[in-house]
Amino acid sequence: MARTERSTVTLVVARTDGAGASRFEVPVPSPHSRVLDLLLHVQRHQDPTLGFRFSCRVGMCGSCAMLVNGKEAFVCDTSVGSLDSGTVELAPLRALPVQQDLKVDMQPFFDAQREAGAAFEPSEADRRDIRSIPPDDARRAAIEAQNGCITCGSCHSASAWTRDGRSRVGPAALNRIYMLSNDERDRLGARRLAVAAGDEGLLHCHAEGDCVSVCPAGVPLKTGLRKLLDMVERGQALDSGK
Amino acid sequence: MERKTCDILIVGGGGAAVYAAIHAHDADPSLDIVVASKGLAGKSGCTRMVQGGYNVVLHPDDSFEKHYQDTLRGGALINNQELAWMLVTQAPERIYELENRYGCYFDRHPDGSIHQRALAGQSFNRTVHRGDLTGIELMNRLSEQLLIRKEIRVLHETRGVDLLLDRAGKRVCGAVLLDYQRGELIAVEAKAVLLATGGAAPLYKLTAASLEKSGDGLAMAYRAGAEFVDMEMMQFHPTGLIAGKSVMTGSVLEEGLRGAGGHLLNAEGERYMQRYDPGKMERSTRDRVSRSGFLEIRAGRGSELDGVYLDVRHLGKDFLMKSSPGMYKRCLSVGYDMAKDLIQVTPTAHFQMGGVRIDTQCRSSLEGLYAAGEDAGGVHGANRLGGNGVAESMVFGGIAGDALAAYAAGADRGQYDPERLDAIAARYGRATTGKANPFDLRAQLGEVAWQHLGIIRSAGSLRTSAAEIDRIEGELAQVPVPASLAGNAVLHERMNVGNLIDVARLIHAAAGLRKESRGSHYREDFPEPSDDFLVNIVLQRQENGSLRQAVEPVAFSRLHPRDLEGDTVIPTETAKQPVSSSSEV
Repeated sequence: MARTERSTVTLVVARTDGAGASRFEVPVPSPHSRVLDLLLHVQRHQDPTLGFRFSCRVGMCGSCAMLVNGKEAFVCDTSVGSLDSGTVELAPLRALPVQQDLKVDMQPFFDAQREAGAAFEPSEADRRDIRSIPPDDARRAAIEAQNGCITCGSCHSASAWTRDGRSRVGPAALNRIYMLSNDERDRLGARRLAVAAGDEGLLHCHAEGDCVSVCPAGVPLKTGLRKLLDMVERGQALDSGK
Repeated sequence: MERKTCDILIVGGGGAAVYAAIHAHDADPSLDIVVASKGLAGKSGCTRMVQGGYNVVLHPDDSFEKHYQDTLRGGALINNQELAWMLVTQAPERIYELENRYGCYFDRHPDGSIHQRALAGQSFNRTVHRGDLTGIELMNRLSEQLLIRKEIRVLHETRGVDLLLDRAGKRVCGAVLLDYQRGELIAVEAKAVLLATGGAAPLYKLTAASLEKSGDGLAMAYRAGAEFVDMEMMQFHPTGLIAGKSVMTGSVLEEGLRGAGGHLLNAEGERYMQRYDPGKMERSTRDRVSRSGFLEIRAGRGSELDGVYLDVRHLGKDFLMKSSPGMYKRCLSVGYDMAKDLIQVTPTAHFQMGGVRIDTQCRSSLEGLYAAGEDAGGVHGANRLGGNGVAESMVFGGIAGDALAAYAAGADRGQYDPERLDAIAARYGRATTGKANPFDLRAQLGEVAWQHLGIIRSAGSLRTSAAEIDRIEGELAQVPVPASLAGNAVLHERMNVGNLIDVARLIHAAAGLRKESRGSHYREDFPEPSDDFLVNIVLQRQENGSLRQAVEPVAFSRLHPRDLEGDTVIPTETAKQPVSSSSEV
């Protein structure tokens, strides 16, 4: 990856105060400096009204996803050097209502997860031992391959079908449904496939791979959605069991 | 000011807060529960950043007694013995819930049984984990569970400002919150309040914690007059990553790297631990390794960026990629290939053991006020073992949720003192002018705490820090209150610094009283532990603003120190590779 040493970059930041974009000249102490470091510099020394969100600052919480030069990324996990560009354009995630500058309201995204049934429901809530599940068990292996989503909303922003509002159920929710459909501990299991097969589900996905190309957690979303489609097509959505 | 009422108000958005909300709701779904989280609920806080895992006795050859003794030994004998016993004995109940009720995916052995490894100070492999990213797994699944309990009202990006008290100042009746985005103060009346906002490790210029935290719950409890215990106890992790002037600096590289055989070197290339702990070398305890690194840096033998070097090159790329994929990726992203490069590391403020004094039902000294997670003190004594922190959040989050539900079923809302509410509102109700920059003051406070209230303390350093804290507090009053509170980072940083100053005063007072060295607390002028200090230090703000200070003998209610043996090191067992782990993240 090209890494050019730069002493400053220009941040071009979308604003919601009606005045259009703001430009900031910001020092870059090292090519490993994060885009988040630049935003914090602006907030502390240039414009404290700039709105953005972050928390863990090590790529684990998913609070700071936004568009960096047009592509979804965590600003805490994006080094300035990796962008190899003297101008860095920042904009909020798409498909979600903008609250302030680079911050979006995540609630519609969370609501979509809930409404799609992308949450575990126990078959044996009060069980007091740990099931034996070998890691090479086919279903567990299928789950493991897809685990790691941190619900940052990047795929929701990047996928054409959620971005343009055709569906609220995006790759993150469907990926979780795939995991749960394979989860022997889940009460609904494969019955969750009905959502995937429904009006807001997989039919909108054209396997363009926009979701997986931006996923900051590296979850193989496209693969998961294809396997989910296989399950639906094999008619497992109609089974009441698993 | 906006008004709300509810039965239970939970302030916080990490593991303890979310766990408490779920438990309280499930105990009685008719309860009106409000969760107010400074960041996005479930995404902020430190639980999510947990790498190591969750300590729990599951194996037939392990026992509660072993886990308990490890915990007391790790805590240098001043743990609250009843709280530590709750931690150990309730940990299995919670892991069954996490596995069976909330659907967590934990690593397994090839035979299908749950995989457990050992972190520092353990006599048995008892840490349940998911690769080296256990916290993400826990918080993802708990967030899902919070989400599907629609009746729980979640206020994202809404911080706690201060507690509401009755006229007598004895009963907590709710809290004032601030909605960041709208800039609206909200007075929430509640039958009971849980503080689970996390500790104040970000007081220090170098910290591993998530950066939105500023000891808010601790400061709120302090100002309300709750009792605190052992506030001098702040854990520093020896291997915080150095990434130059970046927010990444201070984040933790897990200690498994030292357990697996990693070396620490000074600028002269010397494995300096041979001068501090020749027996255990790099596998010595967190406090000792942190202190040694600090001393090397102070003596001018530090690295280019004021750290020391972690050398894991000899462990080989394959091993590193398999055992620590998350850390490998993190290092690579700031320019270190662990398999080829020396990594610059520094001690980093990690975890606050001290906190609000609670009983085994998470009740504080004030009626209606509960604390859990890092806001509570006593479980870990003078030092926390790896893997006991997230266990504490889950165990005591659950206990708090159950206790809050039981309390709320039988209690009325107290009558809050309107004068107190007016005073809180007045602080932010009128715009002021001034030129001070709260971000600069924050940086100054971080430096003062690091140099004088941190890894090494003395009577002199405590004097210096007191004067500096006074000065910074004076300047903080010159930070302007803006006309609009909406989405205003300056106002928030002012509030953050104010809270950190309150916590710093508690740390300062307790560190002055403990004239010995024990666990994470090291006094250069009293470098040895003393049996005279098998005590807990209790602090409580009085109505006139003074601090009541009490030194109480540890209650050895379950185990006397003479019945404890052994020492703590990072076991080489840590080198065992997880059987299945997240390779994508």
